[in-house]
Amino acid sequence: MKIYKYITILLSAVCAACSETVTVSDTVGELPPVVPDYSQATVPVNIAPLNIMAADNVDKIDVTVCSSDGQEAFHSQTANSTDFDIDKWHELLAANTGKSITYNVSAKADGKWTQYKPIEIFVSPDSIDYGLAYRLIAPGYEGYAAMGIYERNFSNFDQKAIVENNLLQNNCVNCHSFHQWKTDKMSLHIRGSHGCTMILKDNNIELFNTKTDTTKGNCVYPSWHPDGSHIAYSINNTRQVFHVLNPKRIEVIDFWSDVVVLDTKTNTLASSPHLMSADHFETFPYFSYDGKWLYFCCAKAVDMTVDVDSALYDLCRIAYDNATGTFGDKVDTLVNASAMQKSVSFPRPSPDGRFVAYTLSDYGQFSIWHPESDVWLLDLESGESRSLTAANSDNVDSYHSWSSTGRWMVISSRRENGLFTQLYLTHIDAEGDAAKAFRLPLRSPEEYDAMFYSFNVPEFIVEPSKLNPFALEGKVKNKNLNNFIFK
Amino acid sequence: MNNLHHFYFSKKTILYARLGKCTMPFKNLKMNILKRYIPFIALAATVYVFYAFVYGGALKYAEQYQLFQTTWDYFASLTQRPGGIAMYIGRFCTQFFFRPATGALFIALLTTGIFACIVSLSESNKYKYQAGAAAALLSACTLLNQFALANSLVCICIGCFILLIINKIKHTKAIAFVLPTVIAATYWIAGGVPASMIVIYLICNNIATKTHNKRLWTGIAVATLLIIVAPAIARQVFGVQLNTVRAFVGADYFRYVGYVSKLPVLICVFIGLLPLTMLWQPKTQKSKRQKKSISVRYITSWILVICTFVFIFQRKVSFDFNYKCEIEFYARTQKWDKIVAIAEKHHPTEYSALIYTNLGLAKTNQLGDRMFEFPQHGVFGLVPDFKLNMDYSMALSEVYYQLGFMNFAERFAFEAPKSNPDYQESARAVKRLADINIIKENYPLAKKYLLLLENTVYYSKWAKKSLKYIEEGRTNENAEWAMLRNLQVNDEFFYTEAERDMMLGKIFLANESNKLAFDYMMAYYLLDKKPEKFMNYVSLGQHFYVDRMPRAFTEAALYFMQSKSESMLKNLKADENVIYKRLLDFGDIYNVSKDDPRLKERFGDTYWYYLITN
Repeated sequence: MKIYKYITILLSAVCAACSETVTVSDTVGELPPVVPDYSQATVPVNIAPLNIMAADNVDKIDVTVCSSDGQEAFHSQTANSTDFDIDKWHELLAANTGKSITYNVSAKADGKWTQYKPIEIFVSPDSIDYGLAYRLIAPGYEGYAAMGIYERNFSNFDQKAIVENNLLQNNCVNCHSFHQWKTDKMSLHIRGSHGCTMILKDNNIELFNTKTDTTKGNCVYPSWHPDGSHIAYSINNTRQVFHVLNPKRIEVIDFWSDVVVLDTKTNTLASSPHLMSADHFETFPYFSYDGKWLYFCCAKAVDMTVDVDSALYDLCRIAYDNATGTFGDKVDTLVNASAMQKSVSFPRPSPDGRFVAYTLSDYGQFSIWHPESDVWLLDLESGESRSLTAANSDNVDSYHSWSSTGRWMVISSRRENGLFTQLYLTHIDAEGDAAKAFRLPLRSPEEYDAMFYSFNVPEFIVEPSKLNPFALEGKVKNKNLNNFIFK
Repeated sequence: MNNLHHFYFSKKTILYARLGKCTMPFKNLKMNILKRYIPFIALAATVYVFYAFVYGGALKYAEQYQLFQTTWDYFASLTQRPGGIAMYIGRFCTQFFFRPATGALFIALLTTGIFACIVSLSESNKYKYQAGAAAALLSACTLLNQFALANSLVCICIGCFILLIINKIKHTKAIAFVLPTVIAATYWIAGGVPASMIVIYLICNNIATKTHNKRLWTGIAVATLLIIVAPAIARQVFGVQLNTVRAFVGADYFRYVGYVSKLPVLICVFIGLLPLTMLWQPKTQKSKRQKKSISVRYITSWILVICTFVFIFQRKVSFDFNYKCEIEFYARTQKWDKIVAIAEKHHPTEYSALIYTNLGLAKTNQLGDRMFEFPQHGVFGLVPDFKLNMDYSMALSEVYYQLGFMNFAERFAFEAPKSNPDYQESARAVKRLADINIIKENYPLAKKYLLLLENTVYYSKWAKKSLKYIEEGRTNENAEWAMLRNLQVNDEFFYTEAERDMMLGKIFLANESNKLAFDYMMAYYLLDKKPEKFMNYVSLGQHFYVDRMPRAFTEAALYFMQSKSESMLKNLKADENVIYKRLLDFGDIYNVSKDDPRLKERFGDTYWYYLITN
């Protein structure tokens, strides 16, 4: 609400008038005690203001933001969080594209001001897409309460609900997927009493029962083919089990899984023996951006009731011809993770087709609960894989997506506290090198502390959502479901 | 519009009183003021005493399932939906329910506010006190249900207050002009029900006073139209993602948010229709017979108010629920003796109360002795299966927390608010999550929870103290955290509800000084009617019972030994002999008739009776 913004600005102005003169007693060569850590981060030119907050052990901070030529752009003295003006901020970034801006921070503790090492932030000329679509959900176990799919505009702090489960009989909404970063085509699952899969196409919402007589379950992880008519899904028999020992909490296991491709023109499902093999688990399908390949994860089938950590997934791909809807006759194993006693999940090819980003963990496929999981990058030209070390952390770094330009990646990470997932953005250059990741900025970093939700399944979008939630509400209420047919 | 008189006494009277010039003898003035105040004081006192001292458990229960934050963001998040401000006020009041003596003040204030508004609104209505008392008492009844939210009371009060302000406006032109704006504001502040109440009241008032002012009727028509389209505007223009009914009602009246409680709606309709009672006003009569008729009408109206109140009160009130809530509160505050005292008085049969009763017995070292003095219903009264239900989840979390099984205490404390039907976070659960993460030494997460609690009224002090413990690295100085940290399991396995006895065993084996885990494991086998398993493992806890075995354990052991071999019963201690004689008596009666009432009378508190009846 704009009124709150104006009141905040007014209060900030009043506070600014009361700011005290900083007399530095000490100068140290450390980074200042502020949250979050933006030091040495590479940020897009169109990102919203990067406000910082005083750490717990500090009474007050005095922040001066300077352009690359040392000119002061902002000055703020606060006991909580800075609140930089959005328009002025964008002017600053535009004027410093390809250069660095600097935060000079002094902090007051025990009545004394200390000046710290300046925070340098590099402003990349590579702009970022319009925003992100993500699910906000409590990082819980079985209950989910209020949740929804939201979109966030990168250039300001506006967050809007695409659809909340309030409207959908409190059912769970998940696995939102868009066609080529545009929002006119969307797939969304609804689970619960009104369970179905929604497909938005040409302003038309259709609901489907995705279980057929031939397939063993409902369609799960979606990926749109670039032609906008086909969607790859996996079909998983999933269960949750719960760890007794800290720091692990939950294990999500598949007792079996297959991969299918839906033709949205005919509502028919197709697959290949390589994708529905009885002695393998196939999951997490994702089309390459030229549409010629379907990437997926594959593990030898094991008895999950006996040994949960024995399922090790490799990164594979199979050729796909959308004109005929046929698959290649062989599967390429691109990363033989099982040979290293590791496991791959969430393969995401880059828009230029050169890289495939994936998560590597010790076992299983649901790496979002594995503290050891990290995001890796496979270079399809050299066949080599490397960890995105600058972007990863020592806690969960898992679900990731590419921006439409392929220059930005969003990573879901539990690095702050091991439970609540937050989003980190990292710049990926043409050679696949990642810059230090920075946390998705909110107006005040304090908002993260007050939040009871995890950011889940982040996907870049180039435009605001076109889904009419109230039209979806009506359709879900009426439960008019179409069926898929297995070809 | 009808002219309103001043609520308590006229301006002139006040002026004279201030100037020291009484228009009447001072004693009379005092009496007059007192007389005017008496109904309000009586109502406030009744409501206060009831909620503070009789039904306080229900208030404590309501408080635990919300986390009211004294932050700007919390306020802003609520006020972005219709009825949000009323919800904010409702939740503000609810946080004080933690101490019923304080929380009841707010309920008394709101109900008296409704009473006062209606009396003031209906100054010329001869039934004003009856009408006010009916609305206020019924409003107070809205909180009797365990799932009721204080929002409904706030909404009715706000509606009455806004109605009173409109009534103060003398010029009909002004009313017609401001009415649509006032209705829109009322809708956003308190939802569509109080807004409709205002419109209904104005329509009825016009009918009763035979007002034909076109401007006023136009204003009312616009306001009515506004109420009809308000939910659509809220959804389509402001993007409020609530279904049409919830978008109309605005503030949630009931914890199951899809359900709209009828009582608050009926109270609003009743208030809206009040002006129509003017049409049946008794006119001043002089003859004795006529005066008698007026008295009869007066008495009848009071009887009607009282009967309606008693009828609704009886339907809504549940003293069983209240004592269950008291038990829950004492579990929260770890007053185990008080739980046992309440259980002794009420003998709880409801599962969550029974879970706390067993925990209270175990924490006071009485489980092995007295568990069968209470109505046991299998293992679910000890360690229940997980259900997506806030009470069960919280109870399960409490049990596992006390046992030192931290990952699962965390899981169920986390699940509890997720199964809260109105999706609010829970102060109780957040506090427990902070405890658990301190014990697990996951300090960043513990700090997140503590920072949230810092912005509350009742938990702030504890949160600050806990943060200091963390900052200074002194968490082991807290006896509870240090003790529970030592009890944590160190062997990785997956939680399986089907093998809870095995899990209890693992908890005990992780730290063999964990007497609670041992007692729970043994009690589990008894409640599961597996005396063989009980006998297999009971010796593991010999060090806890060097002098004597608890009575229920002895009963089970003697029963097992008797059924296997008489030779095992040699060398019994004196107290064991007494129990053995009881077992023989029990057997004598049981062998004659399984339905002999003497079994329950004499052995209702024994393991043997539990074996044959459950």
